[in-house]
Amino acid sequence: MYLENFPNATSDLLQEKSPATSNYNCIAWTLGDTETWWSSAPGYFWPPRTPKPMSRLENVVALYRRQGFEECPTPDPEDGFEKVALYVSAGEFVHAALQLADGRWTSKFGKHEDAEHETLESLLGGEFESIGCILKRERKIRRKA
Amino acid sequence: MKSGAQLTTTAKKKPGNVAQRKRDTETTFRALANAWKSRKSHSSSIEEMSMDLAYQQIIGLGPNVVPLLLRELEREPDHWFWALHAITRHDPVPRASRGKISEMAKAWVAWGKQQGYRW
Repeated sequence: MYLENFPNATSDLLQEKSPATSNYNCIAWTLGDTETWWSSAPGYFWPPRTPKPMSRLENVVALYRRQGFEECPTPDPEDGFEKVALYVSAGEFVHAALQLADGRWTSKFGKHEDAEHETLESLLGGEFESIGCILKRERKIRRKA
Repeated sequence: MKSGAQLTTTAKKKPGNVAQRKRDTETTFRALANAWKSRKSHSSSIEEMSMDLAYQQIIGLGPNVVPLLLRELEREPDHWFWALHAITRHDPVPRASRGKISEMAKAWVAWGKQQGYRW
């Protein structure tokens, strides 16, 4: 992971929690899947009847809706719900982060490590331009903070 | 260090026998693959990864690079699937293996051997 890509973060805010791997990506990570790289590209896993390509934010929102999520106005923690934030750059979806039960966030960065960050803003200001959408669903899996 | 574009041009223009051209392709591929692997993107987008200049230049090497990509997949599975698909217009990954990187690599390696590629 390259901290210089995250000018708003510090090593304290962005704590690596796993070794780098190509086995799964950010979408998989937010859905509790550590064995699959979710992508609409040829040969990868993309749920049936989900619109393509993955680069379009509305298609990724559609994917999460099929997983039981709905759009919500705020990233603030809500008891009983898990939230996902979708990041965009140049108008295209680039990253998804999952809120932990304690209100912090966890991200798997491409082929790099997964890491925890205090806020969504920790990832902004560099490679990830803005937050395109927040979604939530009832929390089913309790992750370790 | 030479840029990927310079290396590709050099390999294409250099006259010589088949073995020499093969070595040139391999040298160019290795440089481009290293450049692509060292990129610092944190995006999960295969489309974004494959739009990288070095990756595009690997695709531009054409069918001669297919055995090198298959060898690379066999050695260390990575996201070479888009390049293989773009060059060969095949997608041998079975539905149950989609998104499973090591299984995708195995499917491509098996396909390559079946097609008569050697590396």
